[in-house]
Amino acid sequence: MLFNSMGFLLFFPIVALVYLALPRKVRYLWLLAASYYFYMCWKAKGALLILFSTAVTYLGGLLLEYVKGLCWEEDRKRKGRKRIVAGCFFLNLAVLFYFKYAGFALDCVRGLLGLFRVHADIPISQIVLPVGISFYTFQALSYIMDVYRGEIYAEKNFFRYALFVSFFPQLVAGPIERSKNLLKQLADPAPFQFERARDGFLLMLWGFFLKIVLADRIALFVDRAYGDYMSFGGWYLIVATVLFAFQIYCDFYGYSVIAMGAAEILGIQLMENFSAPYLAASIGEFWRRWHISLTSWFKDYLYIPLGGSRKGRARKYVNKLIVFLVSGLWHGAEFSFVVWGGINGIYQVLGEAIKPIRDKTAAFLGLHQSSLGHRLAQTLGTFLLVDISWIFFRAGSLQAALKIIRQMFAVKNLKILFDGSLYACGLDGPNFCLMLLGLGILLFADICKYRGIRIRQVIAAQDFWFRCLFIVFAVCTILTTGIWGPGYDAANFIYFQF
Amino acid sequence: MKRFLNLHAPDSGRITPHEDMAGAFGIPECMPLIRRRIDIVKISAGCLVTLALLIAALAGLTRLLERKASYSKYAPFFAQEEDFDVLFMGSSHLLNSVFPMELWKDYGIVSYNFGGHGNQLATSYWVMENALDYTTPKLMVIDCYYLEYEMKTSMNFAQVHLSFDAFPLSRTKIRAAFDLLEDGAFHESWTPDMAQRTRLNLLWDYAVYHDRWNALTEDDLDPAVTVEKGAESRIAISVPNERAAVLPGSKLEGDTVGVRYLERMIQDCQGRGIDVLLTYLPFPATEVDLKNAARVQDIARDYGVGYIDFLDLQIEDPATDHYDADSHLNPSGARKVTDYLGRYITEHYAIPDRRQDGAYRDWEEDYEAYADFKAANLKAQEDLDLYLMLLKDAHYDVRIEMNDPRVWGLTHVAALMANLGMDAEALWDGEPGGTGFPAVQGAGEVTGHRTETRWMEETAAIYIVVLDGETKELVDQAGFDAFGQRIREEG
Repeated sequence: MLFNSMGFLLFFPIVALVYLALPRKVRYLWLLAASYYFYMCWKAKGALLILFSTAVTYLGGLLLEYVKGLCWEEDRKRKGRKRIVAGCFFLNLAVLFYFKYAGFALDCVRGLLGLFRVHADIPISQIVLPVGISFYTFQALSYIMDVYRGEIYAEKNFFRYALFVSFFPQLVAGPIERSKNLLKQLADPAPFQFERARDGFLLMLWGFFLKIVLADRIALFVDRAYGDYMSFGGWYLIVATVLFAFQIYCDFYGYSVIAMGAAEILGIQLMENFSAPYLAASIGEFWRRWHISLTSWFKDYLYIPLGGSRKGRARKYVNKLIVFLVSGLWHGAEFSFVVWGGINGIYQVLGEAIKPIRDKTAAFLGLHQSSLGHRLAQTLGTFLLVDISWIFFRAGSLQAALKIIRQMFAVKNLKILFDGSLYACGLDGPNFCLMLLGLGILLFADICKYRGIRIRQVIAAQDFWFRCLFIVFAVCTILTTGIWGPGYDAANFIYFQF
Repeated sequence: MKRFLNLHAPDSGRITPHEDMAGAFGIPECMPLIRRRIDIVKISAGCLVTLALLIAALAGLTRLLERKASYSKYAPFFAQEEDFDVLFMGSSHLLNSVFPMELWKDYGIVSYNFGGHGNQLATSYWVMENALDYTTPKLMVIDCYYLEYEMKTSMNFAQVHLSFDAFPLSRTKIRAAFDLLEDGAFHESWTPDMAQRTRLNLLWDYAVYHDRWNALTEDDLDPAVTVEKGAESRIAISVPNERAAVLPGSKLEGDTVGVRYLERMIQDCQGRGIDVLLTYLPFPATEVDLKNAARVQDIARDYGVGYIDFLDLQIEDPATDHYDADSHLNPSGARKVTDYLGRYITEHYAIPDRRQDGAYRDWEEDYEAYADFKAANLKAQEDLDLYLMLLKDAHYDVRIEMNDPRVWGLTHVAALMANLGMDAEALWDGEPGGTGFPAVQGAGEVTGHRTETRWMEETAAIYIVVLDGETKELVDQAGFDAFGQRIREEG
């Protein structure tokens, strides 16, 4: 069930109303049932995988506490606890590997053998990737690590823990919640508060705007250009690449915001996943603002265990590269994602390594760090670097990414920016203009966020009629201009069949 | 800004000054229960007001963004307060073959054409059920094309929308959506528009039309309304496929979805006291169609209802009366069918002639609009073929002057002339314009119009004057060159 589906628009109000009507002590059971139903709408059997991950980490958590309480020597206890953590990681990552990376691994083996002209009958993987497996696996593993580190007690109530792993708003696309934050809220749900529910509703509206008005509209242009990059070369691809940066942002941010809004209505606060990332002045800042829940996950559970920055500069750079390579692989089982991660890792390493040179150059040129021009140049430069890496993310394969980059510069067609030819690439004139208007709104909202202004609070502070009309206007605008439903195809209405 | 926010932003779970209605009523804070209840009432009322405004706004948007074709087709039906005497149900064969305004003019029959593109008999059944919510006719004419089909709806779901969009939401419409979308004959691979095939989309078409926001025109604010009472003229001429042969006595066997819904239509009409007339309208029939027509004969006999097998009658002229190669009639063919039906209905059913009925005075005005529509069609034609085809109209006096015999070499012309009831060869006496205007239909005087268009008479290979058969007023005059292209006056 997608958030932007008619099913969810029926599902969520029913879930929320029943949830609020139930006694607080049993609400989590209702949410658990709803979460599994939500997930099983995709594929019922997929729920078994969540159940497996839940059971393994639940038992792992209990075992960790049990071993901690044993009268063993500290060293033996530490080793035992490490083995439990390793076992949990192994079992969860094995499932993740099988479903997500087995095909990729087989392709690699096939390619490798091909290099040595060895012919082996390696089957092509037909495994279907279960929705959200990367998200809930990481969430479950974070729980084990938190229990291991003693940051939380192991959850005794299996059903409550199962809800932590499967909580439907963030089940399939995050944010990847921490047990410290979510389990506590599930154990002691907040009483219903109208203002909070209204805030959540506004968040959901904003998310739907980002997803169906912006992301899905931009996708029409990007898919057309990237889908036929040999025909749409030069500036078509450059524009598409710039737009893809916003497509993926709006898509992912929109989904996260809907998840946050839905949870907020239920009285549960999820962590912020995006914070105006394209206003970042450096790659490092970008990653502190982009997919925050995943970045912090890697920082807490990979970067720091690897030694972080504690073991010297060289090791720090290696650690960062590892983290970004793994992050790339997490996003997709394809070399292009690994390259994407690697590029971002290199950006980070180079950025830090040449920072003294950059600072000296800026000082030499008389650039003031605080000036608007300098800040703007940094932001645009960061966006440019990030956007280049997105080519590898979007292209689908490494070969395609390289061809797309070649096509960008092989075709000279600057005039398409001015003669209306752009409107032949998936978006007509009115839709293109609407997209630009939407991006303007997004930029405004991000600037407000960057400066700490909460637009929802500004709206909430207005009188009833303003709020009421704003909501009516927003819902109507999103529903009318959003890309959803079967769509009206004028060609369909030509009487071609009788 | 921040200071403003600090003043007014609500903390979690607290009522803001704006919300504190209880305070506004002077309820002291020591009465928390009463204050809480007042706040709940106020919040609930606010939500309801917002919801009501939202529903109203969405209803308005739905209406604005809808494709207007269905409304254009049904607007005259809903506008009429009095009952219709005859309703026509069927597919596009019927839509293009029966002109209610001609039935009115010639027989005083008050009828409406509910034929729809791709309407399977199941779709026609539900169109009929919805229509019967608003009128009770004396006669239901049902065309039986698609009898052998197992589908309930057209493969092009847009055509189903065309048949249902304009019907207001009702219990019958909901039942229609539920029944039609439970279509076992449909498989995902059959049609690319499967995503549209949901009950909700049929009942609330906003999901389909919402992205027409960038295609809105003035017509969406003031939609054009059909002047053909549901019918649709299709102006073209095509040589039809050859008619198939079928062994005597062979007929459609079995209980198809089409047969079941046809029987439901008959049973329902009979239950309501409505006479039923079945038809199988003319077109270049395949073997299947001929078997269907034979089966309809049985069904008509079983239920004791009338049946006209136009496939057997063959009143249309294959050379002039078809719009496309395999199915539909153009206005020339449609007028023949309409006239036949008019005579048949008048002779076999107690359908009153409403032409002198004051309650139906509007129909005379409607006919004037229809006549203007026909004239506009004539004036818009650039091809001699189509012009001659449209002249097959008993309400026109037509006069033709021949100046160039090369016109006879054009495809269709001789047949179209014969369709008008004249001997084409006789028009040419060897002298350009020498014979004046031989009468083709009617015998009105046209001298007054000739002098105004002398230039056209002199340059045109064929020159045609069309008069209203009743008032003898000029409807149109046109000259065509030797290639059959219309000559337009310069400037």
